[in-house]
Amino acid sequence: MSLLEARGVTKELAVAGAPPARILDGVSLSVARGEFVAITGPSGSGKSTLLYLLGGLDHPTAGEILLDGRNLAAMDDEALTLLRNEAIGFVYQFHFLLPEFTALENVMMPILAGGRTTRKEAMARARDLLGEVGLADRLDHLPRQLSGGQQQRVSIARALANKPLLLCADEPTGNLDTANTERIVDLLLTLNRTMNQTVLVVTHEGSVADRAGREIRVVDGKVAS
Amino acid sequence: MAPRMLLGLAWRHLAGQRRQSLLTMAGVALGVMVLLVISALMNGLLVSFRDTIVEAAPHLVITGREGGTRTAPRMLLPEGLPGAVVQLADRGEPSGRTDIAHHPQVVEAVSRLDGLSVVSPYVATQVIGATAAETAPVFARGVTPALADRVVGLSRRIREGSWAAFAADPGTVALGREAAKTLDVGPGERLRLIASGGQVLDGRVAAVFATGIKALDEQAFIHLKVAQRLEELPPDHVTGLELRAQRLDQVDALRSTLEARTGLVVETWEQTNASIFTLFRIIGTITRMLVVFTILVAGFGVANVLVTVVLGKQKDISLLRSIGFTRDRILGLFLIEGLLLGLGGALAGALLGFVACTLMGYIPAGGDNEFGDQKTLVMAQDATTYAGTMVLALLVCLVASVGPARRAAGLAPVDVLRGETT
Ligand SMILES: Nc1ncnc2c1ncn2[C@@H]1O[C@H](COP(=O)(O)OP(=O)(O)OP(=O)(O)O)[C@@H](O)[C@H]1O
Ligand SMILES: [Mg+2]
Repeated sequence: MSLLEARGVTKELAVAGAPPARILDGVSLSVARGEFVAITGPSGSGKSTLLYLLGGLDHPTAGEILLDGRNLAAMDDEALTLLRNEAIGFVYQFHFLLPEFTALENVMMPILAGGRTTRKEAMARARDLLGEVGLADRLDHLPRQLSGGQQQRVSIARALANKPLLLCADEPTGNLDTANTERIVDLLLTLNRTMNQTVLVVTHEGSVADRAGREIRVVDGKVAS
Repeated sequence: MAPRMLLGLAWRHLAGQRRQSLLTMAGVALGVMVLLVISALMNGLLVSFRDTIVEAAPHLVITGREGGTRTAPRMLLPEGLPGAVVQLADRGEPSGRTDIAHHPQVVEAVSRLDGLSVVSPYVATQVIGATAAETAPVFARGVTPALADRVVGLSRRIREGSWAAFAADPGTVALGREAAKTLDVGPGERLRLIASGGQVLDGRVAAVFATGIKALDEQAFIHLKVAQRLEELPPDHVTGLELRAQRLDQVDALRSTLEARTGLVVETWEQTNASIFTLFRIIGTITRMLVVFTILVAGFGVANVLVTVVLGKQKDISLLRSIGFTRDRILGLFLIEGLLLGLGGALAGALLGFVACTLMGYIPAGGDNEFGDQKTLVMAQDATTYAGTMVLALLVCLVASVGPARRAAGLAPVDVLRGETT
């Protein structure tokens, strides 16, 4: 059975003074546990919209999204929020770290929000993760004291904090130079290989897509094969 | 775990707006402080006013019933005739006078009650006072000096002359300071009192007193028998009895007992001064309402800071939502921020209020002081007022943060993310 399955997912967004725009139109796909999938396509094709739906940040207008057998489309906001905390990690193009908190505190945040461990355990886990992304010596730095690539690595560590079933990344290297891009993609591939971490990456960089195990191409809100 | 994290987030959000947060807290603190100071002033005024009255006025006054009907004290009637009213010594003049007849019997009966320390009969009479210099109407009060002194403590309030001299000689008068001023007369000088019926006392001023209560300071004290003669009353008739209770909190109970036992009219010091106390209450309420408005305005400041934080932190809020913060938790986060501002302001305000009240307690109170001792502003502070004011400030801040907090909780994570990434 696949870890993630989308069936006939449609998303319409209200547009002022016009009929609602259909951004996604009957998207179906499935992702197995341990896969590394790149979502590609032209700008405005609906890649981000699809990722938000698969990651439980938004509700589809129609269709089903099953994560580990649970239908995200049928969950209310609260249930979806708790599910995101437990089972989904996000990495964004603009890393979105909390500016008032250190790298360590940023990584601890999802663990503390879940409330399933003690503060001490959360701290130990965050420290380990930052070590894994090569930032063991930057624990107490504030985001503004870190480079763009370092910040992105902190946000990857944060996405992994609660050992998610699914790691969603929306153009995680969109803002980085080639060297840093290499490094981030290496990191994601390593996580995928060594920890069997399922990864979904939206990208329009061919180099990233080439290294992924599979590519799903979205054109005009539909999956193109 | 979660509360500590929310507190940490709230704290750092506010610290990020340090200047605005501090200004807002200062606003709340100012409101709290002013409210505390005004309350202490108002209560202090009331307390010192009450103290003056309690010290220099009778706690209870018994007078006869209107219409000139003389009724026997019921307690003097034989058993089996409860409530019967017997006409006693009716002088036959339905004049509206409210004298008490047979006052020695009433005094004796009343004295048997527990809780009273002094019973002092008096005769009140309106006379014309005439001196070598002036002629003016004076309210004269005939008393037994020793008893009257124990009710109003005049002997301790003599400015000139001596109370003992007055007590010793029925031909003398103890004049209130205001009356002495009006008549332009001092100790040892001649004073003639002329009653409406034509009776005259050719007396001499023995003492001038000042109590601080204007109504009392405008009076002339004379001996009871003299007043009875001026009023042409029989020796057992008096205008009323002034009483002093051993304990203030028994006054109301004593009033009912006395009224039931004697069938006469009994008034407590609080009833006599009811209109003034009501005035105090009204003024106090109005002032406090004005200050409460200050705190409400401070609440707008709190709402303002939070709106700023919510607008500036939309990204962070979306992120928190995406990593598992529910709407309720975001709501809670901003309510906590409002409460933190309120708590900071309330604590600072209470501290400032306490310091201000303490310092103001050293400010000399204007006007005259009777004994030359330095009178200062009376600041009445109490824990209840402090607690109530702080709770009020917290409530206002909480209510002020509801709007911004709901707005933050209503943010959909994707809206902000879309705006940022495409
Ligand atoms: N709030 C909105 N209301 C209406 N239409 C929107 C809204 N947000 C996005 N769209 C439209 O939805 C479509 C898909 O947007 P989406 O962000 O998913 O594209 P994308 O594939 O991620 O593009 P890019 O590669 O530029 O990031 C676009 O045509 C966009 O104009
Ligand atoms: Mg996009």
